[in-house]
Amino acid sequence: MAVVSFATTSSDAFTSPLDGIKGVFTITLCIYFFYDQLKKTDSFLLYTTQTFWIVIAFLIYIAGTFFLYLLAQNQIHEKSFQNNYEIINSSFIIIKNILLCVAMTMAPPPLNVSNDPDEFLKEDWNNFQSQKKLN
Amino acid sequence: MYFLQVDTGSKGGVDSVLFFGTLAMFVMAIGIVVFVIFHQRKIIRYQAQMKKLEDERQQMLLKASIRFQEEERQRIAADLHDDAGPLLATARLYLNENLIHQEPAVQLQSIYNAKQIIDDAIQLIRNISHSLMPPTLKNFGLESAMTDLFQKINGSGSLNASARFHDYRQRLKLEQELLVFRILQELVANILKHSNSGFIHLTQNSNGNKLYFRIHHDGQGIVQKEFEKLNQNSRGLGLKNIQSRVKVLNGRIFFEIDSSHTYYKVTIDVPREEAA
Repeated sequence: MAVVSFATTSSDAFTSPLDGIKGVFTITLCIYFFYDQLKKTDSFLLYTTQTFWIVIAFLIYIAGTFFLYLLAQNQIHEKSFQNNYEIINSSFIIIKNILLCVAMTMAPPPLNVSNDPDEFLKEDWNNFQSQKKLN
Repeated sequence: MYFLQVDTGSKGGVDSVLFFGTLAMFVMAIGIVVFVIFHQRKIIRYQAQMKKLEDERQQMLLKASIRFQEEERQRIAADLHDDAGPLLATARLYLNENLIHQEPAVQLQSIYNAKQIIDDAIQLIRNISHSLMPPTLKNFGLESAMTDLFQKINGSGSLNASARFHDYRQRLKLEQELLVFRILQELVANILKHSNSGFIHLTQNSNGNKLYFRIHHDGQGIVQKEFEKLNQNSRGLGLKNIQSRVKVLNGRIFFEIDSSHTYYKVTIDVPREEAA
């Protein structure tokens, strides 16, 4: 989509139909991400992860600027639209950046080491068995 | 629909579409995020509740198992104290120091009596030991142990008990056999005690890595729902012991009634662990 957009339009023009498709596609992906996360049975809260905040940053930005880009191709020459464009686009960029900052402050995901006591017991048991075999 | 009706050619119309469209999309995005957060919290709460219930159930089974062990120990202690103790004390009385001053005939009689009492004590201790691990089970396996148990039940003449093992060429591990035997024994005891049935039939079969044991009887039985309800009940150890033993075996147990409502069946499936 980006390649088509790049190849078919001049650098200073808006491509509203493509932006619309891109927006719908990104929003759908975000919803799929949430659906996928809800399916998982992990008991940690979703909003404690970096990915969640990154995804909502882009979801809100794309959703907020959806109509803006949809109308931009035809309306960008209008003075009032330019003002609205500045306000809406800047606001959502700020919101997006704030959310990305929140994502950066979140603790990184835990390493793949289990704290489950059963796992330790199993590991201990496996070690014991292998020791026994060696002896 | 409102947005579609707005005349995008006019300046006010474009502004309205932009304003309301952006607002709607923003509200939708926030709505999705809020829904996801609350829904996940709900799921986690539900999972925590389920885990708590499972923990409570485990705790109850563990307590039942400990209580059963304690009762078993008390029974053995009582048997030893009340039966073996007095027997051995009596034998000691017969063999006291004064025996050498007695007449030879009295001495012989005392020794004979002491020997009889010691034989009784040996028999008693053997019975206690057999109740812990039936020798038929240890030496000849589950099939023989169950047949033996059913023969004893048949001997009473009150009901007809039979067992048929279709695929038990390879014995299970002894610990597994003992657990299965105890489960079946408890089930049979429950049937004898509560069901007023005319027959008990045990069948065994296997499928892949699983062994199936099914008991049929024509008396008053229970179905799975009642089993779970009774299992939750703090009274009564038998069903809890069955449940904990099935759990130890990594098996499953199902209480069902036949579609014709003529007999009840209890099915146990156990993963096979063959004896080394």
